[in-house]
Amino acid sequence: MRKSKKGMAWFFVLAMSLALILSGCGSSTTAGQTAAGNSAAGTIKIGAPDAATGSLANEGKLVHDGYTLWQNLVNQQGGLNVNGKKYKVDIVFKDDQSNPTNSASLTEQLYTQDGIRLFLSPYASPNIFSATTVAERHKVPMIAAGGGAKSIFTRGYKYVFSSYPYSGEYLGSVLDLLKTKGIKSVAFLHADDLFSQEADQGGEAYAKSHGFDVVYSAQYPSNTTDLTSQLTQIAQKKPDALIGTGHFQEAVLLVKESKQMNVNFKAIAFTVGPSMPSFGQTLGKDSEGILGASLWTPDLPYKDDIFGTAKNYAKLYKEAFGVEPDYHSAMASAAAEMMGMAIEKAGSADPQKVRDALANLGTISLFDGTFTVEANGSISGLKLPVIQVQNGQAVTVWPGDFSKNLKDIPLPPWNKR
Amino acid sequence: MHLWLQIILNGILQGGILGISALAFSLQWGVMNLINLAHGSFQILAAYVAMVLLQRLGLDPFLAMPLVFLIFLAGGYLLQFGIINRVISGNLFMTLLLTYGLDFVLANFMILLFTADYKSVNTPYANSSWHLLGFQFPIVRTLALIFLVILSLLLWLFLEYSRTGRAIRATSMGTEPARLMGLKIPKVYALTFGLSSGLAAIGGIFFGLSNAFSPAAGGPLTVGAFVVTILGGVGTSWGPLVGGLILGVLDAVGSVILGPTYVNIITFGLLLIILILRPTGVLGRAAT
Repeated sequence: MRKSKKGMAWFFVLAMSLALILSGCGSSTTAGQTAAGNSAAGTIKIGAPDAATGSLANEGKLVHDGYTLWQNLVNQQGGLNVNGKKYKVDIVFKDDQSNPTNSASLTEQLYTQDGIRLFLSPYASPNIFSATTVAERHKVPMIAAGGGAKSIFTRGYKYVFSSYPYSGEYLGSVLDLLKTKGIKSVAFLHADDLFSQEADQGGEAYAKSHGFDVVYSAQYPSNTTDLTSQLTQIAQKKPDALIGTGHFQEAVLLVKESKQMNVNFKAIAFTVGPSMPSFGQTLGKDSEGILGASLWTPDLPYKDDIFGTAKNYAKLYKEAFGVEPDYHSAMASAAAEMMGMAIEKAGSADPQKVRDALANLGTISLFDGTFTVEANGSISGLKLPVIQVQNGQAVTVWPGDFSKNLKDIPLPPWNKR
Repeated sequence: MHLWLQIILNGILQGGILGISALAFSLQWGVMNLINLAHGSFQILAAYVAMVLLQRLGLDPFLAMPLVFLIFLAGGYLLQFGIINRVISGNLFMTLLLTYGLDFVLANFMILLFTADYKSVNTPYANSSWHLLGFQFPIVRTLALIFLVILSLLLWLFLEYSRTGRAIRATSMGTEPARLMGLKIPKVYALTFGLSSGLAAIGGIFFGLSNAFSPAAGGPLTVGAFVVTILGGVGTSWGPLVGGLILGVLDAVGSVILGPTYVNIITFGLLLIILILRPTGVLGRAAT
């Protein structure tokens, strides 16, 4: 009896590892139509191997809706103007089940079976990383919307573009804001995934080069359920601000446990969490005044021909999908819009010509801001906003004049809330 | 010095959360030789139930606890009696498959009911703590440890001295002799699973108070309960407490000395060492 329980324990460990390995494999066998061609019958097809199921289903849906909104608006306006002739666009989605291996095999399938030559990316850096290898091999352009890992752009690829800034730039605006509020010392805590690591490294480097004192820095495993001992350590260093780079549940955990351990900060900021409505609902008044790095908010003063102002984008999005857009959707729409601009500029849906047009877009202004397409396909110059939780809602408090919306920095101590 | 005492205290209190989550898992494994892969999802479901009772009826999670315990006891009894009993005497693989499937059903059921968004059981005291002698005692974690000690004691008394408890222990020692002594094994199993489901629900409420959770959060809880159970000793009433405390303190101290990145290495390294050196766990009896 005892003997068999020991056996079961080993079996369990083995089974768990096997399950982990298997979950990384698996492939979709969705049948596609063969060789529809790109510019056949007045329609330009664009492929998108984006998640509809799996752990990224939520963000995958936001990206899907961002692409779809652009497609619907362009088609309503008659289509893309290619050398004076109007072409409708048709985005062909395939579900990569949140799995990077599938992102690559579906890109292959869209290329070979569906005859698609222009691509928008799946969500999340690892999926983009893997899908873009296929696009590059076939020499067809793919615009990434949903991941800013620098490693995507340091492989010398010629057919990969993006609407996202590097992850390492996410915290720059937050630190600029903190500087104006007299914050001098900062503690950094980050999760161990690719995005969080890059965002944290970029943030720490920016902090050091801008005169902040980085008094604490540590990496924790994703999905951790206890950070009290880290907060106990941080409390000894008495930093002015805490910057957390991780996931939603860890941001919630850090706020809950800071209060439990009575560790007070003049400012608290996260990359992920505060911009989502559930952050305020989950934490109640303890979420008040917390800052969040963001890529886009409907308050920003930018506009373009297709979506109009950022506010109008939010209105169109809400009409189409019933909810307020967040930055995932907006950045996806911007990526699709870049594709449209490049096709019109190239006067063709030929992948090589579209690729060349994308590489020569230079500095452009869209509803999400003004930015420059760099030689390696990444973008630079986007001014990132910062949001603050006020009465449970995300309010834009950066850049520029938005800072007059800023409240409660330094934050009141936990026992005075 | 004060820093280290507070860090060890943090570990002890985290041990309470870990241990109370493992109580049910250990009982199921010890008595029925059942590794319940749906254990974490049971706990998350209990956290949702407590959240709904709080939001809709204004019922405090601690007042709701007896009610949630009874709901899960009844649900667990029926589940074992109707479904799990059909495969439990067969191949071990079948019970793993069944509970794995059950985990899927529960997780997707929760997505349907509550969406994939993160939620929390939000009471005014959930984020507060007691200050004693210059140390911070987070209220929820402190209560989790106190509850764990009381529940372990009650469980021990129940198994040791009550007639039903003795029937459960007799069954865990071997189903054939127990059957010959006139025990109805399916009923004993159903009762055990019901009781442990109720205990799992209490652990789930504590988790819901101390963390944000989503329908997908069950997996890590199952793995955590598994590790604590092995450390403490499968099927011992005090095993989850001992396992939880060891793991909590070691993780807390280790995460400060080596850095929090190494917590998983510490946890699973310890698991391997225990499996090699003392496969019956710290409190487990030697092989007979």
